[in-house]
Amino acid sequence: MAGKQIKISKLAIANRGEVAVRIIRACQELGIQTVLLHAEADRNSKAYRLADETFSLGEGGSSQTYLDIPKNIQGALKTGAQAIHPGFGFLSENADFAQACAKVGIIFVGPKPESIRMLGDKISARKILEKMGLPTVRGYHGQDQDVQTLRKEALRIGFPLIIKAAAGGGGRGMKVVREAEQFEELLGSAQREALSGFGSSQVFLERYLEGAKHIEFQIFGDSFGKVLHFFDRECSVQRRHQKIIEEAPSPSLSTELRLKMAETAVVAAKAANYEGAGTVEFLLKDGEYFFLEMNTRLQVEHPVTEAVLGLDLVKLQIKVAQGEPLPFEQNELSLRGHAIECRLYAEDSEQQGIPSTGVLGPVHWPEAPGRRFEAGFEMGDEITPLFDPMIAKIITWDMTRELCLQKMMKTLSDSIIFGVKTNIPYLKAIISHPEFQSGKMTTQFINQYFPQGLTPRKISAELEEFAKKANLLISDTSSEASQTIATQIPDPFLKPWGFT
Amino acid sequence: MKPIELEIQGKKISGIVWKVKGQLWVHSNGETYCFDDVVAKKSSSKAKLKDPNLVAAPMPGKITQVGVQKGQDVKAEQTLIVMEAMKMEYALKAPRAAKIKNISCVVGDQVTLGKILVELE
Repeated sequence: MAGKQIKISKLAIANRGEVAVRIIRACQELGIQTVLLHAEADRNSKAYRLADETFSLGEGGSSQTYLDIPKNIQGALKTGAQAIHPGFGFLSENADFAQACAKVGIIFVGPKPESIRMLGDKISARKILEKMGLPTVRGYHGQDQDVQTLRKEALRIGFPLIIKAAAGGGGRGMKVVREAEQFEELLGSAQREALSGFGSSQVFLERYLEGAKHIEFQIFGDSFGKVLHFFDRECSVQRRHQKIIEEAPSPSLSTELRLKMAETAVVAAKAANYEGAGTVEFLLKDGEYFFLEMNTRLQVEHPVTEAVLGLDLVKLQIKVAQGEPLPFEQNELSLRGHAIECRLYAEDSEQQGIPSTGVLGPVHWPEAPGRRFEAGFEMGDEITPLFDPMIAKIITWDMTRELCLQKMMKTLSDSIIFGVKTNIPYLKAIISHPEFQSGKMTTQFINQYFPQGLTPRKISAELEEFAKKANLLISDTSSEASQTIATQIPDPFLKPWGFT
Repeated sequence: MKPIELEIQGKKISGIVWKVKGQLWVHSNGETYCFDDVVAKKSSSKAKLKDPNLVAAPMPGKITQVGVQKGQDVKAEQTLIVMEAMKMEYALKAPRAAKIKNISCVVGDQVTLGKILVELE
C-alpha cells in the first residue's frame, strides 16, 4: 500500500566500520547529509572522518553503544536526522528498534517492525514457512527454553544438530552438537554467546545438515507491494558458521533450480508484505533445498550481487524508505559475469585466526578495473578488541568464475596491510584449493581442509637475510604511527628510487 | 612504507618495508610478513607462550570459566579455562596430561594477551 513520498535530507547511521562508510557513500550520491552515531572507540575510523556530523554513544562495547536503543534514538533526534540506517548486525533486525523509530517519527531504513517480528525471529519465521508448505529442516523452535525440554527435543531431532541464537545471526551463538553427552555444555556456551551478542539467550535447535551448500537469495520489496529477487549468492565457505568468502551467482545451480528457489524466496517475502532489502537463506543438498532462515536486513556480502546486476542496493534501500517504487521489473534483471567477496579480518592466520588487534600501519589497495575495496579503517586507526575485527572487504568481478578467482588471487597478493596481521594468507589458501576452484565446496569445506587453520608459511633464508639488511636501512616510524590522519602513500610498486 | 631491492646470495629480492616499534613489516612476492626477532628486542609474552608448562591468554579478553583447581590432575586436551573475546568463547585446553601447579586468574578477570593463566608441573 503506497504512502506519500518523503525526501530524506539527513540520515543517521547506527553502525560502524566499512558498512558505515558504505552508507555514507550512498548518501553522498543522493545528496543526503549524514550523522554517524558512534562509540567512543570508533572516533578514529574512516566513517567518523567522512560523516557530515557525528554523535557519540559514549564509552564501552556493543551493549553500551550500538545496541542501546534509547541512545541511538536520542542521537538521531538531537541531530535532526529524519531517518536511521541500521546497517547489519547490531539493531538492524531488532523489531523494538524499528518500532522505537516509528514512534518518534524517524524513518527506519529497513522493513516494517511487523515484518521483522514475523520473519526476523527465526522461530516465528519457521512456523509461517512451514504453514506455507515450504521445506524446512527438522528442528525445535519453541518458546519453552527449559533445559529438560531442550534436551528432550535434541534427542528427538537427532545428532548432529546445531544450537542457534533465536535473536541472532552472523555465526554467533551457534554450536554443533555431535553427541548427546556434549549437549548441556554446548547449550550453556551458546546461550552465553547469544546473550552477550544479541541481548537474548533464547535458542532453537535444528538438525545439522552436513555437507550442504549455503545458497541465499537477495529479495527486495517496495511500499507498493512489489517484491523482486536479485538472484543468488553462495556462502558455503564458513569458519565456525561465520562467512569468509561469498560469491554471486552460485556455481552450483541449474537455471531451473535457480528460478524455482528464487520463486520460493519471493513467496516467503510477499507473505510478510516485505519492504526493503532482505535475504532468504537455504541449504542445498543432493538437489534438495531447505529453508534455513530469512534475514531482514542488508547483508555484508551485498556487493557481489551489486556487481553481477549493476545495482546499488544501499541507494535502493534509501529510495524505497522514501516511499519510491522499485524502478524496474523482474524481467529487466539478468546476471552478468561472476563476482566474489573476501572478508578481510585482523587476525593471525597462522595461529588459528586469533584476533590481531592494534593500530593499522600503511595500507595499499591495488585499485584496477573489476576490483572493489570496502574499508572501514585507514592508517593510524586502531582495530579494537571491543568489536568485530573486520578491516575491509575485497570484491572482484570478471566475465567468468575462473577469471574472477584469478583476479581475486592477484588482488589479495598485491594488497598490503601493515601493522596488524590479516587473514590474507588464509583467503589465498582457500581460493587456490582444488575443491573451491571446482565450485563443489560445501559448508564442511573449512572443517575438512583447514581444521587447524593455516600451517605457518616457510620463510626462506634469503627472505630472512633481506629482512635483516632492510631493517638496517629503514628508520623506525613509531612517532608517525601515532598520527591519526591518513597520509598520502606513494604507490609502492613504482621502481625503487634508492636507499635512505 | 618504502620499496627496497637488495641482492641476497646472488638473487635480487625486492620488497616493501615498514618499521614501527622495532617490528619490521615486509611485503614481498605477494605475501606479508612481520619480523619481531630481526631486532634484538625482548618479546617476553611470546617467549612465555612457547613454554610448555604455561597456559597463557592468546588474546585480550575476559575469563568466564575456571574449570580446574590447584593440584588437580588433568588429561591432554581437557578444558582448563574458558574466556570470552569479541563475543566468541574460546576454550583453553591442557597441552598435555599434567597436574595443575598454579592458577593465576579468576572468573571475571580482564586479561591481556600473553597473561599467564595456568601453570602446569
